[in-house]
Amino acid sequence: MPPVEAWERVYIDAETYTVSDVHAYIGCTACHGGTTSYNMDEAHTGMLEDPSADPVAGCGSCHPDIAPYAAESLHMTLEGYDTALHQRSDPANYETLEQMETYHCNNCHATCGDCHVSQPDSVGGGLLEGHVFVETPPMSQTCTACHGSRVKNEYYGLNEGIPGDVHLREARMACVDCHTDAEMHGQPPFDQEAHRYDAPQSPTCESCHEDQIGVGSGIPEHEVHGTDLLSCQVCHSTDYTNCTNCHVDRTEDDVPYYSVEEHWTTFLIGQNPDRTTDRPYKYVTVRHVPVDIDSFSAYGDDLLNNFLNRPTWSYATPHNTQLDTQQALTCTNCHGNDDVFLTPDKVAPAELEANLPVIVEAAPAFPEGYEDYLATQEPAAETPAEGASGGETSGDAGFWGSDGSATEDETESGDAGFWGADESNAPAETPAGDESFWGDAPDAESTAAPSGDESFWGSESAPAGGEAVATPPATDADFWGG
Amino acid sequence: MQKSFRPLLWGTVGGLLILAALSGCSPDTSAPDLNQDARDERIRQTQAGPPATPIALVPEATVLAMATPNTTDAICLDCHSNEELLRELAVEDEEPESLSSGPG
Repeated sequence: MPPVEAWERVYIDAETYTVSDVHAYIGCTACHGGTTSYNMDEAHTGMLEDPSADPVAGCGSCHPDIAPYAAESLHMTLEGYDTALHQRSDPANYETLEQMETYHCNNCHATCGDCHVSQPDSVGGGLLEGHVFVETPPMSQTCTACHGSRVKNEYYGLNEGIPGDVHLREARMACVDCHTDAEMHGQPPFDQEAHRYDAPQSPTCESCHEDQIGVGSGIPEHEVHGTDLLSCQVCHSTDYTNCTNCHVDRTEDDVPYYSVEEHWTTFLIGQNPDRTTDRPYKYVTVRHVPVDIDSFSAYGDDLLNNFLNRPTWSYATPHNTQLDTQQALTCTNCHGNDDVFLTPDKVAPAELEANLPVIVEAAPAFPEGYEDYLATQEPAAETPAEGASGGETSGDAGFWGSDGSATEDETESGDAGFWGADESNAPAETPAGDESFWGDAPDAESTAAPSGDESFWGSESAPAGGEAVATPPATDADFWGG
Repeated sequence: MQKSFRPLLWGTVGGLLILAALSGCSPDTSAPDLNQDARDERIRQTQAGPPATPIALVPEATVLAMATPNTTDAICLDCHSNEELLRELAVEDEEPESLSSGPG
């Protein structure tokens, strides 16, 4: 995403705005404050750059059913961060942690305007469409502007050698096609959560794939595993990013920065530490939290003095869903194969105890009588989904119907510029000619190259003792301003 | 022959009489004559057109604000829709070189 020039950030498309946007009926100063004057300084005195910084005051009079909830939503409060950090710390450190968050976290919090009027501050801000309010925020300029290193890279296929998510490649689905507005706004039933995994599971795969889940689906693997044993990602995700040690600091000029020394892509199955009726799975995908005990040491000693109060490997929902994956290719790729499980040898010794609820002692063996069952099954497919580009070898066609083309509904994302003019049955590869979307024009191979068997199964899985084998994801300097 | 035909004849006549009685009991679904006063009032309303002031359950001030050209907008938009002026006045932020490294 190229930076928006300073003038463009405040340029209003008056013709479109006044004709097509109901908000134009409200005077500028009614929301932004300031003074009506041709003198710039006078006009801007007391002006609010973002009236929705207080959602209730800014938007609540016309949107009373949304604004109060949005004001308390995770997007607005970033309470999920607090929940995790506080559990690893103690109350004496909360104030210092809050100061740290002010510099390093809070510019990702999202006001109403950060999604519906402008880009988030974390990517420099700037009006989306000349101050015309956008009902459905464009994924590329809003959602993935903040959810960058993990969700964006996984979903778009920007991690080298790992294809993008099938929902993007085959169906061109945007974030809001699965994540509802109630979820985004923190409306019931998403209004009580202190962390994203506290809330009801949303979206669920069942919402769209109801007849393909569990017993009665007619899919042998689903029939065998049922609905409570595995999260869908266990079989249908591929390698995803793991970081271990993000450290933050500020320069002498007070400019915040971070550094991540160790990161790698891998795929690991762990135990679900908190099985609920909503997430009953015994096994889920897990990834390492991006912090270590010294991540915030620039702000004070021992700020995470209870660092091991939570597992350092946590429930993960990778956004690189595939129909065919290495682990789903044959039964023996999971059963009896420790490489894909978070076994004790993959956890740093100091973190072993904290991760006991997540660690899998050994890969599950086959249940008794499996030989007879296997004998009744057709031979597995020869190759998993590897080449994402064009969707030709993904094996996803059956999943999406006859041709994998997106329906009109599925492409209603508000990202019109991104999807291009012709959305019918378009190639599933990286959309061409949309550099503003893709930032630094990702290497085509990064979205298409197959995931090699060796890198997946072999030595590049999570290292013991925190010794990571780095497989650097595609850089996104444009996004991070680097 | 005549003896066997007679019950059938009486049965048919009886059925016709019952049907006639039932149809006589059905409600009258025909439209009533319009009340002349109501008809005149409807004609008067149609000819008069909509009322001069909008009927709305919102404060009068709000209705007036929406119906009146907004001078605030005009003054703000004069500058903020003028690309040339904005370019002239824009102060480009001096982006400090980021020291960040690794996936963010």
